[in-house]
Amino acid sequence: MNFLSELSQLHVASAIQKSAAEYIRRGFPSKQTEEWRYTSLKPLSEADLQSAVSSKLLLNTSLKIEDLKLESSAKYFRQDFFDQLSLLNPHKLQRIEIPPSKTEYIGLENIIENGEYFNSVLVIDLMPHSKLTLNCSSQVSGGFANTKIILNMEANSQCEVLASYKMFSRSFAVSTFESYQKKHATLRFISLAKGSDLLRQNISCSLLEEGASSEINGFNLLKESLSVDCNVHSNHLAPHTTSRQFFKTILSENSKSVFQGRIYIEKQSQKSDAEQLSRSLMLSKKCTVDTKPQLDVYADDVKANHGAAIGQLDANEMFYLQSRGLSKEQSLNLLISAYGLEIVDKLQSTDLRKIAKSYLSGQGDLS
Amino acid sequence: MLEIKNLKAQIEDNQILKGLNLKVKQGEVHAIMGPNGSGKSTLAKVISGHPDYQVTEGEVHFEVNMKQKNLLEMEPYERAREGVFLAMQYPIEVPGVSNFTLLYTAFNEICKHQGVEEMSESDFRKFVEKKCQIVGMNPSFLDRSVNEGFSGGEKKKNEILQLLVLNPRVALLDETDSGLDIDALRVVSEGVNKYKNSHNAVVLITHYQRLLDYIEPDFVHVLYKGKIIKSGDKTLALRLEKEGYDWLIKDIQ
Repeated sequence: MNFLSELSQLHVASAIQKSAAEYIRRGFPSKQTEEWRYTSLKPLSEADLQSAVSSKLLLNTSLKIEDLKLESSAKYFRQDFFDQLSLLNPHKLQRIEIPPSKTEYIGLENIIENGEYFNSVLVIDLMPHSKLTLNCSSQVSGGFANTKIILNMEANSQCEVLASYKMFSRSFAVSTFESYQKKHATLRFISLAKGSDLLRQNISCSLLEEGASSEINGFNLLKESLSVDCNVHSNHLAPHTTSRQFFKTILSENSKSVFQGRIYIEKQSQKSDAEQLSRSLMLSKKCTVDTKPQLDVYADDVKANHGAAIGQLDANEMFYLQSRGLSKEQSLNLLISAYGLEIVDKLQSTDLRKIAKSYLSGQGDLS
Repeated sequence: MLEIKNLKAQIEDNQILKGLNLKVKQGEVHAIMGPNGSGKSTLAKVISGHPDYQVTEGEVHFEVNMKQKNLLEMEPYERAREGVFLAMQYPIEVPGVSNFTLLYTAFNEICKHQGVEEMSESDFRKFVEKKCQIVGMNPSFLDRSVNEGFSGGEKKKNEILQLLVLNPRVALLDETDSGLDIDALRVVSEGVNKYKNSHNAVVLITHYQRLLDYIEPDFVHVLYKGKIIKSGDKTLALRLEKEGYDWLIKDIQ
């Protein structure tokens, strides 16, 4: 049974859920929707999925986890198909607060399998001067994960996030991160994805006050028929704000990557500084890359750069490694890791960097 | 040990080697000289299996433990594992791959292939650090990316470090002396001399007699228009240094 038909039988009590049910009934966004122009949701809409029965989200933290009430949480859901899906059937709706001036670590593990789907929303409120290291790992094998994390960052808070995805066959994930950053709040976000089928990432940073900065980096290693669709928004809503977007992708076989990066600089956000760069390496003739940079700049005294490059592996590097005795496969794997290392090396937390490096070196573990 | 017969090779449609013959025995040092564009670097690349070159005719035999192997049928990494090493004229930078990772992976693959016991990472590091001393390299280089940001001299020293660590049966040195100052030339030459013994062989490609003051060749060959046109002992190099190639080229024309 298609999981939307299962949802239609769900008992909805509250008014906001009724409107969510209404939204969902209209169906999946199609390619006519600009945001979904490059990625078809047909395989997901046809998938045979059931609502998850047990908890699929493991939270490792010493902090108190608060279960949020749906009635008071409407503000966390946008008018978006997958947000509304979470609202209609929230498996988890939680909140964690990082106390002022505290340094904390949160590990979050999301394992979806056996034809189940799972909706979760986690709100993390970072109090002033707090510091958070967040390790989110998702492993999807034959299922669908619809997860959202909202970071409300008060003044001078800092957050570093490693989001890693391992996607096995017949797997889907829609992963949404939203940050709302006040004065001098800084976010560094590193995403690593590999495997097959479909991963959609929505990453949106709203720089609300002066001095806020966000750095969004990603490395995708795609094969078979994996599609990764990254939708990254940097919203400069105050003067003197800084944003960086840097995504690297390696594609082989029939894989497909989409990078839609948007930089929005509001009229009053003078002296903002924004950069965006996407780079792709294509290892096969059958893979596809769609890159759509979008700069909406309404202030006149800002820096906003973007660039996109698509290339192939350097044959000289391949030969050099092979001439030292490394097989083609070993040479390729080393060069692939090396390509991703530039992203991984941006991590400041040694713990996260260690996790990310072992993720990179285990690149063959999905085959 | 290495026998090249009537080797013809091209890049795209450009015939560069036009029937080259060369025989290298264990314990020998051969120097290959010749004017620019005569095919010296091509020869080194063809022996090590560079994919840009097509061999159109000829054979390259390599003798390992009394067995003849046809190098031309092997992938570049198979040739390396049999013991062929090319020190490149322009060593490639490989950002993101550390010297240590490259050396350690290569070393153990070669050991595995030759049936020798592999080394643990910590033993290997000690082993490599000793070799670093020979070429005057700081061991901290090992954790840097292969050749990235290295000066010309450091890149060449790194090639010699790889030679000392991987200890191949035959070493092809393609203009290892080019771009080196006098001190670096001495260090690199000492490295090659430490490597060389009665069981391996060295083929030096060079433009200058200077290198041969440090590494003494048993044979000197002149390569011109894709063929060896003259072979002799080390005195040939001295004459070339003094008189250039004109007398030889005139001879064959």
